[in-house]
Amino acid sequence: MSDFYDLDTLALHAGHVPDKKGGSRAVPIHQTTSYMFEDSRHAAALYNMEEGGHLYTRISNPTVAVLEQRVAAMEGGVACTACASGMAALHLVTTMLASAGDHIVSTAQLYGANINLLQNTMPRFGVETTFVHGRDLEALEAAVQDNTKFIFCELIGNPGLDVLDIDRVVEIANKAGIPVVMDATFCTPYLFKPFDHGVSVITHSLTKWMGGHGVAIGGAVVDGGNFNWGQNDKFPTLTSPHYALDGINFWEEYGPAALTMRVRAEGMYNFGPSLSPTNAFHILQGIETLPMRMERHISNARAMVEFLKNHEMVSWVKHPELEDHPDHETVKRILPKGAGSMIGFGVKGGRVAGSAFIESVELASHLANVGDAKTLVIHPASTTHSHISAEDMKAGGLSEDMIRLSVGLESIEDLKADFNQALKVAARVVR
Amino acid sequence: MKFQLDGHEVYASTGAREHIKGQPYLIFMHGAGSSHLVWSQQSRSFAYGGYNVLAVDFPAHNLSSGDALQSVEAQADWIIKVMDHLKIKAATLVGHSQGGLVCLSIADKASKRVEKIAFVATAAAIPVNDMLISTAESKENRAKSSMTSWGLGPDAHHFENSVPGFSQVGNGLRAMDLNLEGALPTDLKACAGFEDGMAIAAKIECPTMCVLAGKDKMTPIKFGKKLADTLQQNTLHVLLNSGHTIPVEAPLELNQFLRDFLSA
Repeated sequence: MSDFYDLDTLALHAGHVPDKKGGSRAVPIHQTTSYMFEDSRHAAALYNMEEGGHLYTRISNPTVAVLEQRVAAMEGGVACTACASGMAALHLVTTMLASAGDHIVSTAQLYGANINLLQNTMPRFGVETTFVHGRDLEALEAAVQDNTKFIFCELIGNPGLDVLDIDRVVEIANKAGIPVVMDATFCTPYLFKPFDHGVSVITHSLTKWMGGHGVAIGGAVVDGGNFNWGQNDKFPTLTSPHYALDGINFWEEYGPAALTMRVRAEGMYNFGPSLSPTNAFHILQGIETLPMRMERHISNARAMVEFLKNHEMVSWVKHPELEDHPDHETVKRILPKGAGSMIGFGVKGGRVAGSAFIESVELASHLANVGDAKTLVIHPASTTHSHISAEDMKAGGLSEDMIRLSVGLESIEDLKADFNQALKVAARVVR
Repeated sequence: MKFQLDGHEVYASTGAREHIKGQPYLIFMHGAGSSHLVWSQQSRSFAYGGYNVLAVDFPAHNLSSGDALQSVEAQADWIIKVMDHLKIKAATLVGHSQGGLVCLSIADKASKRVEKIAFVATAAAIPVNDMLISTAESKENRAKSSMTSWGLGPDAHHFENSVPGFSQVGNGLRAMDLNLEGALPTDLKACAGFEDGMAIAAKIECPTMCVLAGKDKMTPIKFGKKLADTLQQNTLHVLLNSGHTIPVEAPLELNQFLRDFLSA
């Protein structure tokens, strides 16, 4: 027996012990804005961050806290802060670590909104980002400057499905005395544990596989607690006196959880990207079955890869487990349980055929999401990545004819039949 | 607060508040392999509550440099030096686990400088399994994992927490990583070598309080009760559902016990 519960158990239990008073086995939804103070001392104690508790739901909430503690447990972190979306999570990390005049290095193989935030929004506030291809590690190392605050990456790039050699990226970051921040949405703790590889901060879109049912938007910042913020003078937001709370030094007072405490004290307090308690509840229901769902996602994805590879109307298929994928060796080393349930493929006949295919599927849903229990398809060039330039699209490994497929949990035979009939429609359009 | 002592940097959390002349002193001492971080929910609370707080990192622990001290008596001498350096005539001592043994030793060496003592999840002697010491020497990470697991009660293993979003498991493991290599086995051997606790406890005349945990696997409650029975002016509290790491597992309850004890 290991010292701590396994992932399957944590997915069901972590963060919640039924309270003695109500006895509710399910996590209760605390749909409230605020919380009664016991007395004046208790009120002051919460405002001063003297002790734990809830003050106002913009900052924390008991239902949301269960979700946070569950995600922290599953990822093996020291703490987690849930927020309104995955984008809110990246914004929180960026603004807590970087200030005007600072710099970020990022891999270019990212979700379009992540690129937009770093490339277009943050420069208006004086934070610049250098984007580098995730496979060009020499360029990545060379891009790090004295004012670089972190390296940002996705393990499995969205939607190009490039897989990063994260161990080498962590080596580069360690040498520079900066942390690696990873958007781990596509892998989830079922497939990959970033902190075990030296990543220091995880951002999640909980909307995707973690929630898994397409009913609630949510995000999370998970703090690995494995980065020594005091090793140099690069992180004054954590290692010098805070503007409030009697000039608290988060690193000295909270050590491994310094970033989380800053996120809570400034990020949630001043920006307010809070997650609603009801959304936290919905996401928790999804997380309970994450390990079982991921098994099925992976087995269905593998079957769909085989099906598409052998279909006469499919011009190419991209999945990290395929031997011709450029990162195949990395995948074998770091993703032994599977490389996710996303597939990229091209329909013969280009954009017109692709459009006909997407409009003809009956089981698969055409929409802007991934990681749902239901199978989803989209054409990134005209939707999720429409704000990205053609040059950046190419750099991100995307092509105009690409269909992004998020494989769901349906009967694999029904899925194949649906795709087969839709591909036949595409064939007729091309002829 | 950082200062130099014997050529090494010493860190002691003041709860991020300046000490105020005339306020009583409260010195928190951590256990084996731990640091001031275990007191993060006490240091600020009592710093705002009218006390000059010092939650120290013993040498080689977290932000204090130097070599780990090899005996409980040496740790007691070091605390007395810290008090001398900061011109603290007397203080209330709060010790968790091994820190409780240090409280006993200070009471033995400098009883007039001790106003009250709060013993938290501790005993008059804490025998340490030889296997744990040898594991700490040869596979320190394995020992840290075992100690974190044994040191936390059932709610902490379920990641139930009074601080929203926190993992006591994760914080316990990572906080130990901040200590210098070798600090843990040195602490464990110091703990195992302290044998005079019961005789010292019988002589203590100042008010004391023992807060013990019903689910304590590191220092089983029966040993803590022996200490409580031996102390002359003691108040005993038992937190039935807490594990060994009371300051983080039951901080609100512990803080209330401490407030009542300090104001009595």
